[in-house]
Amino acid sequence: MKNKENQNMPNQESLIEQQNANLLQSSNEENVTTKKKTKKEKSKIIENQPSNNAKTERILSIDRFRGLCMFLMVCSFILPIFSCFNFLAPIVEHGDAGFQVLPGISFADLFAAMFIFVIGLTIVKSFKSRESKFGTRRAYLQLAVRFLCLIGLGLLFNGFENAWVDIFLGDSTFADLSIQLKIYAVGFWIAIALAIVLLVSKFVKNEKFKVVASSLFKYFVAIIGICGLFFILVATAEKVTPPVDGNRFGGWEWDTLQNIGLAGLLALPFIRFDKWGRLIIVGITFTALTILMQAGLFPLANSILEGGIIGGFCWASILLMGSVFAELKDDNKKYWILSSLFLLLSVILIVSFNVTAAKRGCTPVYAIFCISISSMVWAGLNQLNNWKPKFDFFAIWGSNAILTYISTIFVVGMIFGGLLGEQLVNLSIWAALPIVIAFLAGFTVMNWLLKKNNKYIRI
Amino acid sequence: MIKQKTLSLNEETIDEKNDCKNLKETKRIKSIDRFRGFCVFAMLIFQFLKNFPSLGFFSRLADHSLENGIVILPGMTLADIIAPAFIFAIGLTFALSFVKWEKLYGAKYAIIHYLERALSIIGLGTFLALCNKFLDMFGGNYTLNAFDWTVFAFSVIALIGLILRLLALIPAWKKKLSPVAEQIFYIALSCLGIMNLIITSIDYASVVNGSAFMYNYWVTLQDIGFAILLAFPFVKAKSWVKFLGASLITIVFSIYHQIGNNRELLDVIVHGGIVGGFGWGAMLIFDMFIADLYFKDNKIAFIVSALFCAVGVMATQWLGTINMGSCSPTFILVGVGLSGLIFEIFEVTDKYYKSKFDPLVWWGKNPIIMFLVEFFVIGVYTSLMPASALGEAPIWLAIIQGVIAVVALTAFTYLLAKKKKSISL
Repeated sequence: MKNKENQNMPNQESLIEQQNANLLQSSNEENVTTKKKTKKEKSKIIENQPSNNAKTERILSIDRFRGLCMFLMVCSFILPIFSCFNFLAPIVEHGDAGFQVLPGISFADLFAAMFIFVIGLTIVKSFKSRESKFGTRRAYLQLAVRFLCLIGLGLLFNGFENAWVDIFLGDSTFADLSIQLKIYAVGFWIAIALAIVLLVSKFVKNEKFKVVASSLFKYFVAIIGICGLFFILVATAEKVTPPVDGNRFGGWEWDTLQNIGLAGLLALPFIRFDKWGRLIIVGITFTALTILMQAGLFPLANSILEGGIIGGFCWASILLMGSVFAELKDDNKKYWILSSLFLLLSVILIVSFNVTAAKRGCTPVYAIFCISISSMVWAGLNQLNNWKPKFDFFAIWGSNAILTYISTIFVVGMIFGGLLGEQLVNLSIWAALPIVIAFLAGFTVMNWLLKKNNKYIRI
Repeated sequence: MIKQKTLSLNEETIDEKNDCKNLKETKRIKSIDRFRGFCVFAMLIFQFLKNFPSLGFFSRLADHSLENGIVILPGMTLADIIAPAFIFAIGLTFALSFVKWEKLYGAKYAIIHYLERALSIIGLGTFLALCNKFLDMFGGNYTLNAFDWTVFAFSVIALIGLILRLLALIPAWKKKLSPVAEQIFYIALSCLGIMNLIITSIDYASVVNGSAFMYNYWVTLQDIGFAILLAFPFVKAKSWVKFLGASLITIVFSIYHQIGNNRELLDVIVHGGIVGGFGWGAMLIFDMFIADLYFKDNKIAFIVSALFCAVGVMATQWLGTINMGSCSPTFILVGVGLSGLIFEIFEVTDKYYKSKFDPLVWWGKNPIIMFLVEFFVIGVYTSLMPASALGEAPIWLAIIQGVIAVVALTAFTYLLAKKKKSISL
């Protein structure tokens, strides 16, 4: 994880990826050394580039979209903890408890897909930027490590949440844990130690130490990610052909971060295709998966959060479609034709042909519907690119998405939901409301301060 | 009105303007003719094939019932889309046609003509409903009431007007007879239309009050006429005004439709009667809005149609299934969107189909004549033929009759198109 500084744009990654080579060079995400430029200098660079205004606008809409997804995702995390907010269940609950936008798809089911769509909006630019600086092979490697790290981070948090929290609460012992959970549980503390080393390296004027500390942390988390992929692959295989002796080796430690990482990994081989190539790949994936899921694969996919490996193909397709729509942004007609066709196709397949739609399992029709809604929301946000308030709430929330998400998992998932769950669940609305407001305000202030100081925590 | 040249916008009218833009427009309008032709063909032939159960799938094409029809969406059969598609075809040329009349004869004449036209369509439907009542009466199943006789009287006047108009085709009589005959014909039909609007309102009041007695004068043509009446104030409005107007009508109608048991009450009279007519009117105004988009940029029209359709299907979750009988809000949205999408198929094929053999264009040039053919020729044929030749006919006999109907009617439309004869109200 790197702490990047001194970038004067709302989202340094998105903007810089779309700016010229000079600016790109100065904002290299993988560059460990921190380059400093005054705001004046940067403004000059931007002023000298006629097309930069439009590109800045584009980033605003991406940031805002990302922030909107984050805000809704965080709300859907925290509100269900308190029973007094049950009246909001239709908005924040997944599955049948939520407001059904379409049969099988609740309102809250849209956020995760939207978030992956937003990742897709910048992924091709990100890849090209890395490719131009480091070459194709290294660009692939960097992104692969990045996505493996996401998987690894998710698993390490699972290691804490599903192992240590239970041990602290006395619900289980270390010996009771499965082999994979033991790895993640031990790995969690190793990662914490490496993170501390990384943090210390930021204050030491030794570039080599910084590089080593950063690489150690990154590659350790990536290796955990590889372990997780191995275990879920085995678990999927064991689900299809259960072991004769009944002892299963694989495991289902799978959550949102793992899902995002897997989606990125599966999308990566097609990242260099042109937009129509990617669209064809997505079409083939959706067609094949629809047939397979309707023919009996769905229960298997549905048994794992977000569909595990099987669902990962659909999440990857959402990500790829984000990249397709990003390239169609300036061609309004093609953009809207594709968007409306996706909407029509998904709605008719779900409503008229009763094709299974579900977030859990990530069926293709769910993915198609979410892609269309995401593209429409983004198109709407693009219309607001000229509106630039000083306090841009959603852009602030979108500026440090990964940090916000990880913090939310830690604070809400582990502390609120895990350790304090029983105490919080029955609080009155007047006690719960200040907690929720303080929590959201805290995150807003955190993101605002980081953004104000041009600090972006990224993998 | 019999004309030497059709008043519908076809390639001839465009020939008057030779610039490139209009050449493009010719293409577009040809696709409109084909689309209209498809609607008329579907109405006649599918309706005819419905008489032959041995044809299986083909006999179900025109069936509106969910039990026997081909269900394409929740509550909607394939047959249900034909009427909205026909309304869409009207919407595509409505504004252009009005502007043309306005240019040729002035605004006042154009307005009167179009109001008369809308009322006359309702009047024609009223006349056809009366014919059905006479058939029932001759079958001993019905006794004519005072209103039926009043309708009969005005129908006679309209027929006299029609005969006089035919006589006016004689060159020596044309100048003196034609204007008078035209007015007799139009005014009589318009009176029938107005009477129908009143009596159908009374019918709906009876339905609401739980009365068993109804006059039953409302069928498809009445819906079309009423929709034209409702859409007429928007004929020259800007696109956004059309959209806003149609949205407002749809929202108000939807609220009414969704309250209490109004959906069931509306379902009693064909297509929701005069109240349901507001839904059909909204549909036509939406169609005119999409037509405006189409003439600006076809792709935008396609996008909007797809969105209408998708939103309509999605809305079935909250507003109930698509129901043509009560003209449900979901039916309005899907009717507009799906018609637009079907039209796009014709628009796409227009780019590739260049042959002079264009039967759908022939079919599309004379919808009124073909509607009368359906009523008087096919209707009489199916009522006269024995069950062994229709309902109990073996498949080979059904195919022979179907093929003959298609060939004969297509030949008829070809002759009309070739002679440039058309009837429009």
